[in-house]
Amino acid sequence: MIRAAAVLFALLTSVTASAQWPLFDPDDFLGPRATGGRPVFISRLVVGGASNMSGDGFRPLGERVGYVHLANSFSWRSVQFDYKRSQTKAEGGEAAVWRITQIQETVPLSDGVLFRFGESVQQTRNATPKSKDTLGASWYWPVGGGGIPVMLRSRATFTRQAIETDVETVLMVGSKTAGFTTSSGTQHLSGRERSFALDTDTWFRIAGHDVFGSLAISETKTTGTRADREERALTYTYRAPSLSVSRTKLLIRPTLTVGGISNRGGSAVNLVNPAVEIFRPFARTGANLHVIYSPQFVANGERWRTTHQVALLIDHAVFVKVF
Amino acid sequence: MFRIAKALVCALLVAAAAQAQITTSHVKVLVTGKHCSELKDVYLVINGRDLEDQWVRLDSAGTCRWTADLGSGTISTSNAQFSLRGGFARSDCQKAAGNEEDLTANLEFACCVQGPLRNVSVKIQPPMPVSYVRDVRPFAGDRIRGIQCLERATFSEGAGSIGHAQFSGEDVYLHLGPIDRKQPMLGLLLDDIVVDNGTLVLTRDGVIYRLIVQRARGKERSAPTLSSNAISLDIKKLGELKLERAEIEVIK
Repeated sequence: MIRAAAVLFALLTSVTASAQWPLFDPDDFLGPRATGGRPVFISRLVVGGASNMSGDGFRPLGERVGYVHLANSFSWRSVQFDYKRSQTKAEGGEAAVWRITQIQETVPLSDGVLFRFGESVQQTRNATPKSKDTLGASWYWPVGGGGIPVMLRSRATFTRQAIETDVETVLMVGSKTAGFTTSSGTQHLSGRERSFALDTDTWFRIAGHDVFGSLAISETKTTGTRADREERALTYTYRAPSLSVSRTKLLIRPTLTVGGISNRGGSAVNLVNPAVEIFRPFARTGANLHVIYSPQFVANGERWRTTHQVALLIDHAVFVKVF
Repeated sequence: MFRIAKALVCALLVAAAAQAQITTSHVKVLVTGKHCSELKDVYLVINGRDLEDQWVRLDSAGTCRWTADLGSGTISTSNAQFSLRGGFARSDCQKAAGNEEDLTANLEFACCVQGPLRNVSVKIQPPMPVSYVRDVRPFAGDRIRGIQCLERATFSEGAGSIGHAQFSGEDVYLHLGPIDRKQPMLGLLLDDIVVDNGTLVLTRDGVIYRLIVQRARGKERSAPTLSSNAISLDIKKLGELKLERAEIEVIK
């Protein structure tokens, strides 16, 4: 038992953790009890905007973004395959901007000259992913016997997105007495970020009540940028039952995510992310309106930083086919 | 040595248990509890076949005792499940104990109810096949602990009555449209929506909204979800069925 727990722990800590699901990616749970085991293909369009939204790896973009998201799901029996593509548009373009200032200063001395070199590097803008492609494979599996079993979902997700970076280099050559001559140039870097995530629904009972959640592990690697990184995350999301307001047909869904992200310093738990989603379905038109408030508390070193994400989105199925 | 003895004991126990399983068409029922003698017409629901036509009527065999002869139909005590229906009673599900001497399946139920009983009338427009499944939990406090079981039936013409519903001890799901036997499908959870006074009339949009709510509240035996895909599929399926309305009424 202890050995099994150790193996599981090693697996969880070594594989890596879940990329954060984008706020604008609606739930797509479609188990075999809903489809009756028949093949079902659904294509869904999502449009919306968000302020202070975080990008992958729980890193804030720090600005308002608009997005278009196309999700295609094919469900058959107990499996589901997804291909999703999203396009995010930010206020000031999508590329990260880095400014590098290099100084070559000549200091005259009594017995010669001294050359002094200095460099400052500053990121003036975070990257907004231009487009993002996600492939997912899910498996639905029942647990519990006797009555109607509980249906849980496990899935693997691979995400790839381009990250553009503009590096502005300013070279200042000269001396304080004679003045500096300045030249500048811009270098464009085309990088990418890849994430692999595994997540699974969890279910247990406490005092006769069902407790549902999701456990996720992911690994994210960024290459070809000025700030390449590799990090892993392990998160657990508690999924509380929604509240319904029948008169207005509103549903209010609270969730709470806690987890740890590697290479951020701080304690083992360095992510706390409660969220509230207000959901209004319009059965007649088939559109669904979502308003999401998701404050994200992430430790970076010893300091905690809070990002108040707010998103508004509308999703609508553009194609539904039951084979 | 100890391991061999343990294995032998286990083997003997398994053999004894296997011997106690019989296949028979004779069932004896004992109902305990101080009101058991007030029971008049008593029925058995066998293996979850809940349609009233399929209930098996029991013959009185003395105070609080009944028997049933299934005729050409036989049951195996190893896997058959039973529940009791009476005028003011329904039980949870039990397995029978086999009696090898007189080759009967013996059942014991506690009388009589643990919550209000309702007969729920269902009428769907336009008429279409509708099915229901009852997820019956073991009743608390039974001397012989019951088992969790499923009981189901189909109304082929879109109308019928679900008898002796006891929502405190079971979840009753109503599925609109044809059902795939291989892949059980749930449906509207009646527990949360029936009203004791009056008839609940749901339009197609109303049914879709109720399904959304029960998924969001985690009442569909899966994690709470606002799945947009599930909503789209409901809209598609109920549209193809041309569902106009569902009437759900507690008739007594």
